[in-house]
Amino acid sequence: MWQRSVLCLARQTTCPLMKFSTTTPCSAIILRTRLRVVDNSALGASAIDRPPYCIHVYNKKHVGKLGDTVLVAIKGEKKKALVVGVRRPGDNMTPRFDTNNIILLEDNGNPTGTRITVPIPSVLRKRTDLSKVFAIATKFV
Amino acid sequence: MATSWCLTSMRNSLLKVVKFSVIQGRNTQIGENFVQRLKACTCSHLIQHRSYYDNTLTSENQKFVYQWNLLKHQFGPSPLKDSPWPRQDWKPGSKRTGLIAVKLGMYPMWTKSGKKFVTTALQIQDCNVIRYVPPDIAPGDDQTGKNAAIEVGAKNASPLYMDKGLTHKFHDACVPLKQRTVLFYVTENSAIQPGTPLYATHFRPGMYVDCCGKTIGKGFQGVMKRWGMKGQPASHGQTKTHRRMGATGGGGSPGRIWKGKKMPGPMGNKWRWTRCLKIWRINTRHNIIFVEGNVSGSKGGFVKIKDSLNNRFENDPPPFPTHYPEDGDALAEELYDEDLHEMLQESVAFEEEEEEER
Amino acid sequence: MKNYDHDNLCPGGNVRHFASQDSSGKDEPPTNSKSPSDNEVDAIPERLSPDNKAATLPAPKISLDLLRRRQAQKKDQEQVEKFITPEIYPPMGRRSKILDYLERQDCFKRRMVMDIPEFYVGSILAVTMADPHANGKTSRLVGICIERKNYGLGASFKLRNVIDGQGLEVLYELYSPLLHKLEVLKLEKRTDAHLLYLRDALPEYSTIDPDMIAIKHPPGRPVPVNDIVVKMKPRPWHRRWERYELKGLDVSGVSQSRMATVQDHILPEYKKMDLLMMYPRYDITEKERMRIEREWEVHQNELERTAKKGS
Repeated sequence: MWQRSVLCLARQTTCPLMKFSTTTPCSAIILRTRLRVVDNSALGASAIDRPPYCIHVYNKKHVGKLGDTVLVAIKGEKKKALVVGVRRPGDNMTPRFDTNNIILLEDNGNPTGTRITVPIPSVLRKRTDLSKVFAIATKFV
Repeated sequence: MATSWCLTSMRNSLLKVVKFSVIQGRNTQIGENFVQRLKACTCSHLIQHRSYYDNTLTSENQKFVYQWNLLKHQFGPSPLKDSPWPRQDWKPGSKRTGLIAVKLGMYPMWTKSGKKFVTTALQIQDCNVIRYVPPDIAPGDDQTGKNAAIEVGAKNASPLYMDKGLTHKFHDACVPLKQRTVLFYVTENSAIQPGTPLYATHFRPGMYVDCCGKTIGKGFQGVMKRWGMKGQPASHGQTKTHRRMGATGGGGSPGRIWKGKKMPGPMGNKWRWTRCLKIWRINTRHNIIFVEGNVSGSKGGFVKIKDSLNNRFENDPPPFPTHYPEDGDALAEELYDEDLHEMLQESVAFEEEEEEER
Repeated sequence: MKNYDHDNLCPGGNVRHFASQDSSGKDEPPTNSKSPSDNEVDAIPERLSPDNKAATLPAPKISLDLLRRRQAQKKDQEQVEKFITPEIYPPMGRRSKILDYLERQDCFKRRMVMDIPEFYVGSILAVTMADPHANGKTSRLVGICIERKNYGLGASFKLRNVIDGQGLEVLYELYSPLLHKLEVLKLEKRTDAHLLYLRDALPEYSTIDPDMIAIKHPPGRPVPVNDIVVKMKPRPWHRRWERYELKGLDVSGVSQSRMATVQDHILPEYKKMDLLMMYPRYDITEKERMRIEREWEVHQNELERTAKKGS
């Protein structure tokens, strides 16, 4: 189990063919930031060899934070996604994740997958419009 | 020239030392250094150092001078010279005096909902009223023009370093010399007798105050740091123009630069007000006021504090004209605001709302 | 429930722990070696030294053993240094002593309400915290402490764990009223001042079972030091960890060209021993340090008193 996750993590940060790192040194979600899909959707699972990256952040600062919606390029498609875990530390007593986690959204705002495989921060629960996301979550931290 | 100055100062100091010893009724120990220097005075070419006034005092005598400064104005149990002045009650629109505090540093606190915030600790050190200026003599507030004034002094000073001409007002008020004095404009009914000590309990937790501190000096600064101007790009053909201010104004029609144009110059080291800060906690033993947020100035700097206009005193008037500890009952050592989480209280717990609804 | 050994704590990994390898249950202390040092021989009281050697030889032999045992016991007791929480020592700088005193007293007041036990970087903790958004309004997190920072009421510590293959960290404020409970599941030290490099280590080193049962630390024993060497993931890392002189880090995988530049970023020996460089670190005077320790003792006595009253 952990070996798979290690491979998965390693692939996110490095391109398999390149020896050098292509990740931005910044841990914030900005343009071209590589992201990790944490739901069980087929599209997300198929994008392991080439991770999705951010092409737009739907807020005024253009830096993605917890609960923001981003537009990602995944498998040659444009898809909206919700940020459910960030690498950049937020407030004290809230979790900071090792990867930038997203779940894919349909155009109408419903999540594509049926289960979120990793824990998501419970601070998100103060958002009332995300009840469908919380319904498919397995763990809160 | 230097020799003569040195000699006169030494003679003076020698006289003073003898004088103090007479007052104290004990033998003074004149430092060896002093004797050597006195000998050296005979041959002027040997003197290479300037001699300061208190170089010649032994540490014992220095302590004695400091203690004497504190004691010499006290003629009895009360430091006040006259009989107590009559006190008046608080009326809407009356203005109290402010205080001078010393900034100690920052201090974290939590509200009862568990939210963390920072406060600034301001200590009231040896704060006394020095003189009351009635409205007909007072220099006048620009806004009202008819206010009286109260001069407040803080932090006892050594008489060794103070000019004699400045000491008269302290002698009149029968208080030790102070490092800093400030004039606060007040209404006539909040007159306080000179010599009255002021405490941190002049304020109460939950009140709002304005604080004024001297900002940290930054020296001569350019326009980007001083005024936040944008500067010019680093490359793309720029020559010697990266952090400059650009245009200074119009051409022919004004024919000059407008007054007050933002330009490079000395930055900081100015008195700056921070308005409407809430008092969260008061330590009555050490006279420390904990004020929400930041107050400009470095640690150990003087800060003026006065009532903010935001206060609503109609239902709950403040201690007027100031708090007299001998009047009422003794206060607790720590006074907290209602919303503040005290450290001896139990941890914050959130109740489940769903159960209540059912 | 699973059984947790001292040696193999994590289900996934083979983390080596030194708690069980100490000579805790042995009758003879480890200092009882074949060649006793000169100091121990000198320590024999004079009245035991015999006039007639042949007649009194067996007697000192027994007493020697006893003496050595007692000395070893004393040494053991001395080795257990008194724990003083590190955040009550003020950092260097121009500080107000009154404010520092008030801050310390506030820390002690909070410690009267909530039990804040002794723990170090590398210990495994469980934190229960009030959370308005969680189920039951409280959340519990188990993790390894990777950092302790800051002074006084602002003191904080970081917990790290890997849950469902997702590494996460939480920074807790030590004196926040939101904390309900702080349990030490395993008391342990590491060889480094911080373990931030666990972010780039293989996840087995920071994976801790959330249902872990607390391993009791026998009181009066020195805290074990775990000198495990951690294997790292391939690059990229958060920082260039090989430049930080970390003992618990395996740098064998780092390329030679990178290791060649390491020496430029490490302080040379002569600078580390430079007294002038060390000078600002000793900003607290001995008098101040003694005062703080006395305050801590008074607080500990008060804690004991209240505990007795409660029981």
